Amino acid sequence: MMSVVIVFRNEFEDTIRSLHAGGIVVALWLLVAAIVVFDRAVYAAPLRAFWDVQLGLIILAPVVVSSLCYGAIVDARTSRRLCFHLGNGVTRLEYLCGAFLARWAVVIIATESAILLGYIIAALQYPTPPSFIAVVGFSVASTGFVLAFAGVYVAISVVAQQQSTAMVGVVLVYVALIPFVIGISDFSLSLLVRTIGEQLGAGVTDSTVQFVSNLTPYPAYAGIAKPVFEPIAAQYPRLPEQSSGAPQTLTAHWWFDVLVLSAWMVLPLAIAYWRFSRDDLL
Amino acid sequence: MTAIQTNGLTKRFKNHVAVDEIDLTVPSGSIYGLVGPNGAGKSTLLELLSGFRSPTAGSATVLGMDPVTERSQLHLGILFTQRTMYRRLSALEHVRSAIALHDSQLDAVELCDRVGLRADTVSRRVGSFSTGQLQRTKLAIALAGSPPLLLLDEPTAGLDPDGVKRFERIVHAERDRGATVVLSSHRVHLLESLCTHVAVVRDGTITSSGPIDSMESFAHAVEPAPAPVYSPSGGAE
Repeated sequence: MMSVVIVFRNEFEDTIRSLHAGGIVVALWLLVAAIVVFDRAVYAAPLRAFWDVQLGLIILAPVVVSSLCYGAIVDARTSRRLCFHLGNGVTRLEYLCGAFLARWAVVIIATESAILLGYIIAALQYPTPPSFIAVVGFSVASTGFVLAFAGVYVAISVVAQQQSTAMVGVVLVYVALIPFVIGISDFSLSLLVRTIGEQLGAGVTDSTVQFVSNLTPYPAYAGIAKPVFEPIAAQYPRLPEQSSGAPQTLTAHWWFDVLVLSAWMVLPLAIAYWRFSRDDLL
Repeated sequence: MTAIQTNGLTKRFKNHVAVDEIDLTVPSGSIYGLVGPNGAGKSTLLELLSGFRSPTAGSATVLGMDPVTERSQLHLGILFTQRTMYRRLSALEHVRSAIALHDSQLDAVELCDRVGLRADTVSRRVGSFSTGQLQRTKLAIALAGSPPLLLLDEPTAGLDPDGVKRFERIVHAERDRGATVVLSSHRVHLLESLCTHVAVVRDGTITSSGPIDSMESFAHAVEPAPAPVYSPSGGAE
């Protein structure tokens, strides 16, 4: 346990002294602040601004944190920095846990501080500040979402042998989990599931497509944050999915979304460790 | 008593055999030198002994443990030629961490002083260090746990003459403490004056080894193997 703490401390201090960490914090601050300031002129309810913050985080936060995470382990391997700890008796599992938790800590600081900044701006701008409890709930859900991507990116960094490979892997994962799931282009997850269903000769219903989609981080995040926006759902028609009826399916349950997001945080790393524990490290 | 024992230790990288069926016995308490030209396999051999690489074939026992599957690194002091440190942490932070990981009672400032790192240097980020300062920091880290076995890859690379003399004194002191020291170097004179045993490594194999008194001069060992001469028709002569 002490070894994990020492690895965590060294990795965290090395990370926060880099321009990367500062850049990530500033980028998230600017994103949240810009949305909250802009929304003041458009919407009367302060909580509505945080719904747009959610959209902004879904699209941009995975990109912002990628620069912090994709090189986490592969860079330590290629530069042989990990020899410092492993050569002093730290096990591979302890090293991985410490390095991973250090990235998580930076991501938590960046996300939480950005949303706190958004709350302060909203409290100053609006006659009635948004519910603090609601914003805390939103910040926890948002942090979980960003951590899920950080987990996947670090896992890619563990498996990759070169930085360039890790970078390509991170881009592909982002495209697969955000634009592809949202359906920005014609080729989307929905189309893919329906096409596979047709090829297999099985009918694919909307609920099947929805189920597959809900297994990815972004719908899970939206599901977890849904209760936060319930009070304003009737006011804003742009939030139809937030105000739909009582949960009918497994995927409509709040705990299921928590489970999905937790799985994205931990499972990729567990798989990556399996590989890391057997690899040559140099 | 042997500190290190290898049997048919082999490491293959795709089409290249870096370490080829090496049988090595390092007696406890010895200062064991590995000498050979660049690319001979010295560094790979030390990486195998430190557990950072798994052998393709054969086995190694380090202090009675398998370096890949057992936590032998807790009992080792390792110095590699590469940076192996955090650019943005200071020498003192590295040495303190190493001492804490070994649960050692040594004082980090005294240890830095012992390897010749000046007081005004130890708090600077190692990213701004010269090669010699990096080498001294790495030596301090290797000594942090007062280990029974030191594996040092080119430990004097980048050191000035004063640094080399200091290094020699440290190695002798470590041996007096009861430690075994295995080091690779190109400096034949250093090995001749320092080592109790020497192994000549060439093309991944040990061509000769033994107590230094029984060895003839091994200055030739650091000369690279002659390159093949190619005839205009493309065949090697």
